[in-house]
Amino acid sequence: MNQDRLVRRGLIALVAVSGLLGFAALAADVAATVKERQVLMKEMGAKTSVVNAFIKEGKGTAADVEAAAKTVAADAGKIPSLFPEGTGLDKVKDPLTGAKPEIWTDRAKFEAAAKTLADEAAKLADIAKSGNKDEIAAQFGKVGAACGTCHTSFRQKI
Amino acid sequence: MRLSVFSFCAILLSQSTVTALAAEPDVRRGSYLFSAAGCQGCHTDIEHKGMIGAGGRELKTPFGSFYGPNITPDPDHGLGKWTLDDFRKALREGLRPDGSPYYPAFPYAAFTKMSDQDIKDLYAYLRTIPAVAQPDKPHELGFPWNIRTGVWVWRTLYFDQGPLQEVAAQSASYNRGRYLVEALGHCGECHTPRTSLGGLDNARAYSGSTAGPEGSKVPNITPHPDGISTWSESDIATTLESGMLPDGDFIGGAMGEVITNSTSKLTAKDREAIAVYLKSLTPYPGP
Repeated sequence: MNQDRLVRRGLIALVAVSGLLGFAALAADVAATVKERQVLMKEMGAKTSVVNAFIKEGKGTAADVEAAAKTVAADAGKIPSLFPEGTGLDKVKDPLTGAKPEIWTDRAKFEAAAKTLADEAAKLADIAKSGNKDEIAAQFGKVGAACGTCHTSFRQKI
Repeated sequence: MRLSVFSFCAILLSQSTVTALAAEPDVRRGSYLFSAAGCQGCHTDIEHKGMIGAGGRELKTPFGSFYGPNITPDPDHGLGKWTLDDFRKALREGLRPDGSPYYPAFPYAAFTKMSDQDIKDLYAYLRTIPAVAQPDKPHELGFPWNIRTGVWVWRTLYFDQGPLQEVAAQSASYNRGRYLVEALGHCGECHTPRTSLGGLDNARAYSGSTAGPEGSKVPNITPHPDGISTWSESDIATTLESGMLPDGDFIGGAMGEVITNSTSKLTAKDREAIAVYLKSLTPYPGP
């Protein structure tokens, strides 16, 4: 009888510990996802800076613009997967995230915004091949507008 | 002799024509002012695809929710029956046609600084937008803020009526930027921290706030290391045009809307003027 109780207690402890470990693992997952997408966003920002420098200051080449735009397009494609359920600012307090709940309540609009960015950035990469500064500037305006549109609806200032 | 009389008359005539043209309300200028003052931000329910100026947009504040009224020329639910005097009284004095005060959620402490001509032009523009027969939604305010007479106290403490006077010692660009920021853009309404009574704490003007719209943090836009000390005038103008920050990030949230509906529609020269003015502000730490 003693053995039964011992086994039972042992099992309960095992379940409790693995539950805690599981929860911790989940929390670690969430933190990693938040950090990964923040790194991705910073990378896109660095690339838009490259394009802006070309347009406003004549720094770099059209080839640099093309490479930068390709990175933005690829990164934009990853956006939806980096915003899984349970990673919004209403659920996650650490690390700090500016991901508003609307990302999930308006999921279709969010994913459409990410796709628009990917499309416009891909177009920019194409246009950069021509080297035409005016066309590059015009298309860059559209890329920027795509960034801003998504941020206006879905990003909280933190 | 005849030539000098002729040229004298010509000069006189052209002067009076110029004066007359300046006095005529200009709908196009009014439309520009509508953008510069960001009227859409409160008076159009953008999220629910409301008609322009028809009102109904919720503004959540620590005092409760305000709903922007209908400013279309509808005679029953908008400003259709308003004279220019009524309109001027609202912007310049913060008073409704019946003499009761507006809640300062309507930032008339800023709009009072508008020139008379600008008020006229804005009025003219507002007569041209489509009339929408949408009744105003009543504000949802907690006690005691729902007692409108309390606003008289706020006014005594925080309302300085009257148009902005230029600073003679400063450049035209500075003065224009100051006008755009202080009178039209009403930037301080978000970017200046508030006292507990909801007035602007102008001792720390533009140094940001932790209690912004939707509970967000509002950045410091003074030339302090906490703010925009590292930004050039060109950086500021670029941000106001496209929302792009110097590090390649793009502004979102409530300011993203300001860029889209207001500052991106200004002339480049006006954005540069705002930049000049912001760089001249007293640096304060914060928020």
